[in-house]
Amino acid sequence: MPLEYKYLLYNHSKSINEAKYNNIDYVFDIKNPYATLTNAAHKTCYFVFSLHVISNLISLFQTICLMILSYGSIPKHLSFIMDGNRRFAKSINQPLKKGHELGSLTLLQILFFAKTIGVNHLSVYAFSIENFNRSKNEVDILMALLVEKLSELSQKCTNSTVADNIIFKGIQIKIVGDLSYLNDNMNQKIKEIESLTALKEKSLDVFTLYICCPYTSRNEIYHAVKKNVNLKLSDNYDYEISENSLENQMFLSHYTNNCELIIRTSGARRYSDYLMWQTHMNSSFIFSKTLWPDYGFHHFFIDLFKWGFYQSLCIWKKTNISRKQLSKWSIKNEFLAKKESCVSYFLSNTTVNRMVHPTLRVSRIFIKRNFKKSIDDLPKPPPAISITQRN
Amino acid sequence: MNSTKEFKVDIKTENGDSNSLSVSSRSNTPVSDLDDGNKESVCEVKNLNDSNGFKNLADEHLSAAFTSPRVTSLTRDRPPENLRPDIGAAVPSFSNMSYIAKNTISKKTKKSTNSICEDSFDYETDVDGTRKISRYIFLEIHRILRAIFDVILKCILAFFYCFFAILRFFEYNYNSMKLKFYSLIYNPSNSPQLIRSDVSSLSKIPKILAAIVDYKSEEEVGGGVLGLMENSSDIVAWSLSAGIKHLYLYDHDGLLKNDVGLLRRIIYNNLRKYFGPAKVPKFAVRIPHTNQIFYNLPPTPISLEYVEKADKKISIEVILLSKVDGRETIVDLTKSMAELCKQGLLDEKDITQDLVDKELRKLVGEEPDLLLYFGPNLDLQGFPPWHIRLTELFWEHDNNDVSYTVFIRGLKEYAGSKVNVGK
Repeated sequence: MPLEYKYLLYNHSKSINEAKYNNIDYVFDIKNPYATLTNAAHKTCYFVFSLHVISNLISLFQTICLMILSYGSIPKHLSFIMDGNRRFAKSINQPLKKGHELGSLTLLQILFFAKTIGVNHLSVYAFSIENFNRSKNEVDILMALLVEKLSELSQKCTNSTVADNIIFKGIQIKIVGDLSYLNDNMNQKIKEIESLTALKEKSLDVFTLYICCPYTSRNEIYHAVKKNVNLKLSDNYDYEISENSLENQMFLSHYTNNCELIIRTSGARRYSDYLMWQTHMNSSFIFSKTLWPDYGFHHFFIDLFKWGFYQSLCIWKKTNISRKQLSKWSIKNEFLAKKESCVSYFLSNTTVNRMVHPTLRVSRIFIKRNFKKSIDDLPKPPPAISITQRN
Repeated sequence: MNSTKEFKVDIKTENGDSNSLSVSSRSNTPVSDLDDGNKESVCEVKNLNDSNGFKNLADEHLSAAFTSPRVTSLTRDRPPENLRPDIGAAVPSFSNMSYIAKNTISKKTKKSTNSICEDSFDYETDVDGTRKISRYIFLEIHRILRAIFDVILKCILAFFYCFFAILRFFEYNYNSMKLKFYSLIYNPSNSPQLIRSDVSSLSKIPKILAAIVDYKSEEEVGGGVLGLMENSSDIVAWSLSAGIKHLYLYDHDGLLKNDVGLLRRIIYNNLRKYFGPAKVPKFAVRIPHTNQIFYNLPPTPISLEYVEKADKKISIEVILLSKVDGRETIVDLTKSMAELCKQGLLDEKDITQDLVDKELRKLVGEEPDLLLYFGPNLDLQGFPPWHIRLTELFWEHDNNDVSYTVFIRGLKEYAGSKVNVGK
């Protein structure tokens, strides 16, 4: 048969939604009606999606959609900044730990999606070095959760008696980062997990999950610099320091050197010290406004679909078009431009200038341009507060 | 041809050396503390002229030899969302749907083990030596089914793509309409008072602002080096009127650095437009890569007296960055550290993250608080990777010119932002 029907009929929706349903407690709080309502809504949603028939239909639909997507362009290395677990927990009136647990379930789902569409490397920002600033209790909870979930996942990947083994088969887990921050116990467990899931045969099409745990990008660059200095000193004159040699000493670079697509959830538009070296040249960013536990199938599908669309346009532009076609297309494009301008005619520069002109005049009536005023005579600006240097 | 090539390489390494040697010695002198900046600027202008002369020579002889390996902002790989609008791909629309459909369907399917339709059967493996006809037929049927399946899924994908192309067309128009609408609301009209009144309602403004400006080809509006400089001078005027003291201007190829004299004249001219000719605010242009500082206008024989009188108190510091301040600076730093370690001046154990941070701050500058990109989709173009740790990134979708709208909306976004590192 052309399809592995087990794959197609695998019901990923049921187990995850059930787990999510069991993780949330319904809390009635009259003081906080909004959170109570969202809590109830989430709980009912998870319940409905974990019903037998509905979950089967949904997972079949989702799998087919992902298969369609896999025929387009797919990033080799996809990366997630999983932000918003605690905000989500707060919004549904639950303790913070539940937020992290729901987040880990979402990651499990994303893992399946990414594997299905054919991503080779999936990396996630699980724990930053800065996160050690949090309360010790929370750090301990996070670490324990991480180890628990990872050992669970490694069982799924290797043990063929577990039910989910059909889809999680052949996933490699790597923990990336400055492991000296962790205690020996953690390090040992991490090593076990890594060696358990490592594939013996080397092939190009493997799926690897990178958990960036105590990781910051500055730390990574610094380590690369230090290692290069060490190598230079030990190798005397043979070792040459260059961009490539630095790149080869990055934590992630044992496996992959660049990252095509970064998705950050929860709406903040900044890096927060993640993969800066790998992505500052020509990678795409998607800043999604949903919180991480809410990041479901449709967000994933739309984000990757859009990226694949633009990427394939790029590829076609590079390869497919001979000179003859190019001239043909450019002629067509002029025609197209005219057609498109029908809509945007009213928005063209000249029209806007005509429209803006009166406002310019009006504004000049109200605020007279006083050339005698120098820069010092202007009203005081708001205080310049730096968000980067304060921290 | 060969000799000139070597010459250029030599100059490059010299630059690198001077830079790397200065790693430990160069002190971060604040602009206002410099004693005789004028003399410095005079001699540095000479230097610049030399390099320009060399550049012209090199361009004549070596343009063919050097264009292929060198990556410029026009030839480099862009993130896929930032398509150049040459072929009708930038704004997919009704008329290039056949193009999209044709290409989607004709794309070869790659055999990847990750995808579900795995072709795990083989002719040789299952049969021990002999081939049975039934097995053969089964495999052929399997192949045909698979091909049909592929085509069907590809057709659906092509349909999705076409549908998205239509959506994208409307999205593009909606976005550009929105931007025009904003440009009606926010209008600087060349007056600092208006900008200041826009800003004064905000709770905070960034201490250091960074802006990435794109080089556009000469045929476009605001294209060419002159267009680039005019755009940057606009940004300087806006941030000056908003009360920002430090401004990074980043362009991928370092075109702004190439002709600082012209840039200073253009900035001066633009500030005259904003503040009136009598009281043009003082500004300084700093190039961290070569460690040079220029004040106000470049001196001319006639205006020398006037310039000498000018005081060092400046209202804005403009810092010019390019690709060399990114990865190359980190590489240079590593090299010089290795050199110092070898000479015994620096202990290996002393190389800490703080030291690297300190040196990079000296070499490039502080981390900016807000980064504005004046293009359709975020594209960092190799902005120094060490310096974007917590920087707020701002851009407007489908915006393609340096406009005040992006600037003021970026500032508003920044005023509402909150960072809690780790916590």
